Amino acid sequence: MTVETVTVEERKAEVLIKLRKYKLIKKETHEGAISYIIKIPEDKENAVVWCFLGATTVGIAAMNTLYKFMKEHELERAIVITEGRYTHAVKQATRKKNVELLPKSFPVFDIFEHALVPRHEILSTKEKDELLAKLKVQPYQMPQIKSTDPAVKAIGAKPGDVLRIIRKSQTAGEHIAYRYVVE
Amino acid sequence: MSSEELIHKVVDDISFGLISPKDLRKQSVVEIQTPDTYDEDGAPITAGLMDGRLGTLEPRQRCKTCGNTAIRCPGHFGHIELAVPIVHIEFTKIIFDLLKSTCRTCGRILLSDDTAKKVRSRIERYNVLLGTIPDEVYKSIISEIKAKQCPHCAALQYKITFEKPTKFIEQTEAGSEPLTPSMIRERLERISDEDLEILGFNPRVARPEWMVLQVLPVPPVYVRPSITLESGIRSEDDLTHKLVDIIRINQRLKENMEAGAPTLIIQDLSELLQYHVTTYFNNEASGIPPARHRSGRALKTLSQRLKGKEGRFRSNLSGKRVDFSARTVISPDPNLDINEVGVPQDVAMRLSVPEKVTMWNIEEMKKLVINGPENYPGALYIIRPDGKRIRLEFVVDREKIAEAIEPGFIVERHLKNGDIAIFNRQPSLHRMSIMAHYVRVLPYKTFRLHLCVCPPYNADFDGDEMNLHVPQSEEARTEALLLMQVQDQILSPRFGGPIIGAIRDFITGAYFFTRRSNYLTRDEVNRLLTATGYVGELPEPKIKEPQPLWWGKQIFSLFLPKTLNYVLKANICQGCAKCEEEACKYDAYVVVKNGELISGIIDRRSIGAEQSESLLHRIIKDYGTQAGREFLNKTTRLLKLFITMRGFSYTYDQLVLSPRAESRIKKTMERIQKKIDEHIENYRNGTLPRLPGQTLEESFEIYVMHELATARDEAGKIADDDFTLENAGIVMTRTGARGSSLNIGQIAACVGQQSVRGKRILRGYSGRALPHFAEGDPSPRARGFVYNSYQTGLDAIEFFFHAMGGREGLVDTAVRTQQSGYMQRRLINALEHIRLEYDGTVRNSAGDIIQFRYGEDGVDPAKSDHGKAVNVSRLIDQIKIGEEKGPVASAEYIKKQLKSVEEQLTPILLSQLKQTLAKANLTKKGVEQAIQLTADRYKRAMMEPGEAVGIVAAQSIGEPGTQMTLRTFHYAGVKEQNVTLGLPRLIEIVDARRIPSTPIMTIYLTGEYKKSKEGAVEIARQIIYTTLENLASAIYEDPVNEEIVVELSKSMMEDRAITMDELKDKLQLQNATVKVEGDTVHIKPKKVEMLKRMLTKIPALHVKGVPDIKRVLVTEESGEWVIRTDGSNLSKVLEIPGVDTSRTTTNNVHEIAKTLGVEAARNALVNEAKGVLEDQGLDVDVRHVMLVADMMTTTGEVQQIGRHGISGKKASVLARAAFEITVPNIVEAAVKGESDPLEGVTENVIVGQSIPIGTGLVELYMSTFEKQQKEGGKTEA
Repeated sequence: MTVETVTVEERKAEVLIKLRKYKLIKKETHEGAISYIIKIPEDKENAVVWCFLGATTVGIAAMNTLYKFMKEHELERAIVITEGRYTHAVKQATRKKNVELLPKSFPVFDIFEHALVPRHEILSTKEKDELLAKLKVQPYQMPQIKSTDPAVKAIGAKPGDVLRIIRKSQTAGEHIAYRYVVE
Repeated sequence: MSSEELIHKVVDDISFGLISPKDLRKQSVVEIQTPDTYDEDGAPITAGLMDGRLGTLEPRQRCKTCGNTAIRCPGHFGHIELAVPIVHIEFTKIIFDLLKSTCRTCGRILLSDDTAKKVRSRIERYNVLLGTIPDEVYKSIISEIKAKQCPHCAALQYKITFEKPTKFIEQTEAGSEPLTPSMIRERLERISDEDLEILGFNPRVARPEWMVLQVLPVPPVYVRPSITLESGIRSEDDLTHKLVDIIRINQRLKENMEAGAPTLIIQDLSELLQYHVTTYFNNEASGIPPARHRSGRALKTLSQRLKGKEGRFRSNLSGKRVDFSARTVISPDPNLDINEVGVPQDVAMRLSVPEKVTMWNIEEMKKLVINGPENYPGALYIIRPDGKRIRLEFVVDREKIAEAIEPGFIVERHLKNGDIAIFNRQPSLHRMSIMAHYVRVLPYKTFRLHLCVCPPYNADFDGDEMNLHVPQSEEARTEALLLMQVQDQILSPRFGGPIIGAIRDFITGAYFFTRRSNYLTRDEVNRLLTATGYVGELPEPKIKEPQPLWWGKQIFSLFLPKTLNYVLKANICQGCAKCEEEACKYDAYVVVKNGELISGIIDRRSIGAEQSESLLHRIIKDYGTQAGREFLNKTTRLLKLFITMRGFSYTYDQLVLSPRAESRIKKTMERIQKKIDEHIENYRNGTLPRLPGQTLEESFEIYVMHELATARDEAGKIADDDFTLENAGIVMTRTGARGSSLNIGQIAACVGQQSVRGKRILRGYSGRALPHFAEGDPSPRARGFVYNSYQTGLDAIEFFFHAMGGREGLVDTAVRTQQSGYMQRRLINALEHIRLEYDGTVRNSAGDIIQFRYGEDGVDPAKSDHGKAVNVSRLIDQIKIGEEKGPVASAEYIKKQLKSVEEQLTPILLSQLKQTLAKANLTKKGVEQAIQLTADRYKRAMMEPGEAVGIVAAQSIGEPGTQMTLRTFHYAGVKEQNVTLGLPRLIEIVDARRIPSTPIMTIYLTGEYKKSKEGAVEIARQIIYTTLENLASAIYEDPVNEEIVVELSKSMMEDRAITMDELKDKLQLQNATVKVEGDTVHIKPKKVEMLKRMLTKIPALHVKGVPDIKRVLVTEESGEWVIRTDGSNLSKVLEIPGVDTSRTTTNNVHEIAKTLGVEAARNALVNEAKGVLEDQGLDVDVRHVMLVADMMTTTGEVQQIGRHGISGKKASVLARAAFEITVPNIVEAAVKGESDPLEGVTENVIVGQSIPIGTGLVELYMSTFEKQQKEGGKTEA
């Protein structure tokens, strides 16, 4: 972690960008917020990671500044980071938009560095289909992982995805397991 | 069994639902109208409770409905027409939910069409995503319904309350109004089928109005047989009694209603009828007094019949009584083979084996028939080809009947030598508790078994009894022979080592036999070898003149495989700093070279039971189970004879210490006494240093107990050293035959501290344990220290304390067996249906994947080498020995060869091969051979498809539970820190408790912080939770100024590294003004009334640190400073800079799941459980622990092993009902219209079908279509 990163929000943003393999294009400081314009590998459009600094609650008013920013830069997708809580109205409003609200519990460090956490990867649709065909199962018959799971949040997987988990194994050295992301 | 009954049908499915009154009446054969049973002649009264149409109990009578006799009549239901509708007690909760969520007038669900549509799509979404709809979805839907007005008919809705047991009250404007069952029924009738589906109902099989009874079914008489007592008085069943009550009240109610009696009477009678019907279903319903028998005993009604340990499910359906079994006391017989069982002739003459008569055995069979049941090798029955069974006991002329026998007959003959039988001792904690033995018919009345099989059965001969079962079919015998034989069970799946082996005197014998000083004469050698059945040359005698003498080692070597090479350290090894190897002065270095015991004494480490990587283990692994069996048979016979010839006893003289040792012990005791006196002195002066987190008294106790423990240990050590290996006790402890050096110490030197609840004894009188002491006497003697040894004898006071401690031990064992038994039951229930599939995945009965590969490498622990798939280094050693000289293979070549098997081996094996091969310098051929053999052995060590891996895992974890300590606390690493370990902790882990009883964190640090104590302390200060109370010497109320005064303590603030400024920052209170004057803080609340409340809150004001961290300890561990804490808060601690986010952990698994994810939680579960088992010195393969952890985390959350977790979510209704909460499970299944697919284990046991696991899984499939397309689900081979 670099030395200049001061606030928790910024640290989280950087961890997020690193883990999800986003490409940072521009970092800007605004009043009470920091924005990172990023390139998401799979997406064509750019997106923004928006940090509300030191906020205790994030309401519609605060979100409007983000929307404004998004309009200015013609961005479709946003990820919000805050140490405060989201109001109910915000949660409702963002459900339809392409705005991801990162929970407060998102860690400030890279959880995959922890000895207990194995590597998680999202399977491509092709890989997923092959796997399901090989095992002859419906996706829900595999072990599951909640979409709220810290590891799922970290790599940005969505319900319906299948994760490949590369475990360090006491018996085999390395073992590959899979989990199906559910709500 | 006659041939007509051979039609084979399989139950595919059992569907549950409610029965409609219409169906009920249709099925009924009689309406019961009179509460009477029999008339004066004893004939059943028509339309009475024992009506002949319900079926008959008398043996020769025919049923009036179906015309069958008692055995063949299935029984027929009758019915009672209830005068008023009655609420069924088991459905009250569901009725309540329905009433709350539907409109009181139009009966529609209280959701607008829009929301209903949304809810429907939500249900559908779950169905697509998860394949099922979890119960929680319906629960949340019901809880979301809160309309005050019906969105459909606009009718106002009133609040409905439910009062136990069966009362529903509606709060209308006019006041509260009770809802009568008929009103409830009307409302339920109005609910539409579509609406019911949203609420989780299946209206096709369960209309809600059927939950309010109009007709009551009357079970057939078989369900409630009456018994005739000796005095000739008939005694009716509890259910009949209850039905009598119901009919009586029902008739009265009908009469009253017809007569137009006042409503009050009608109401009273209705309530009484409700009471009787309720207790008829469930006599333990809350809020209702149980119906009692005349004698005062509570009646056992329908619900009680089903549930609990003695209920139908667990007692009669999951467990069934069997024929062809015997039980008697066991006794030892070292002359048997290990896979034999001695069966008394009396038993052999009652158990029988059906044998088909063929042209080859007809003569023998005729003889058996002639002998009949009373003469030993005889027969009990003959079954003719037409299925007719002839009991030979009643045959007068057996000779004649014997003549009539032809091939095709079946003779049920007596048990004879060589028959196979299944032998079992309860508790059957693991699969080795039931093994197949060959029968050996012997005189006398006990079952006899070889001593080596005592460990797997956990048997001894202090009156233990065991059971014997004789398989009757050819299939059963074959399976027993192939899967259950003793020699095939030597290697335990728990840890991959032999569980069967030499014990007790065999080991003592082996010690004496293989000692260097043991020389045997020709006569002795001959005698010993004859006993073993050895045939062959005698080895060259060790000493030839004056007479030939053989070494014990030489004779022992005769039984070792000729190609065996092995080196190990014996149990008697003293662990010298520098091992002298073959020149060991204790002869503890065991070397076997080409099947020759070169040096070393054979003891427990070499041939003992439950010893992995022993000589015995090697023999079984390398030469097979048959060789292992032979080895055990022969050596034990040899050793038994040898120790009998030599003699072995332990005398009182051998317990007496030398005067020198006596005086040394005395001196030690004096030295310790002095130290304790110092502690007492310091304690009284208050100068004793306090241990963190302990009071002064607790600290004192810890110090003293520590001293006394060393005193006992030192005394024991002195005693142990004083005796030599000539002492029988020492021989037994050192060789591992029996006992420990602790026992020797207690017998000879000092018994030591007696404790109750882990503390010195201080209970009974105030401040003292016995009136012989002064109050508060802290001396060792006064608190239960026993200075004497068992040899010198305890004095009266010591004896009393000893009895106290001993009693606790007994209670402890009793509690422990219960707890571990229940843990095992839960484990078994949660994992029983888990099996290995043909594709190598581990799945449950529904086909859901639990593991993608069993144990991550697919290896069967029982076939593994103490957990390792292949013992690579040993394999290469062996190849090296047998290899011819040649050019060494290049590193390139090894690499190339390894590459070719990359796909077949695990990464761990590959790297092991690479490392060992690089060092071994083998030829090309050798390398090839090594790699090929590794691949072969790995393949052979794989778990077989169909194996019940779940049950094996559950047994492997549950079985050692009994051996674990119940003593909750244990010092882990740091002396001051208490951690729950042993059985309670293991239970906590499988329970998935939210918060462990002792939450603990281990915090690792980064960079500079881990290098110095100061750095670690700095972080520790940021972590420990500090409140105002921790900083103040006093907090009190100042009533004059109406304020709270906090007197701060300088030293306490320094201790926590909190400056005044920091504190001021934290003291910004919303509803009070804060003034800081020097060391005192004045807090004046804005409202005076707040003062009192504030005073209680101020001490807990958070100043610094992480919540829940109660205590921190900074310790140095393997070269770095770490922080250990009491209390845990992982997410917050990880946010603190300086904390190593890659290693810091907690023992709270849920916290790990929350902050690091399920995968981390799974790993944490494995680590925690394995840690507990290892700490207790129990050897359990990780694969079992992994399976449990994977099972617990399959849903993405940490689930409990038990009714709220895995067992409660099983697919099968019957399996859930058989585990716990029987009745509610069935009720829920009925309402939802669930059906049981009968794919698991319990379900199939219940219906009496073979279980889909192991050999029961194998079926023959034939494809009748060109192309079969199957949608997922089952994998069929």
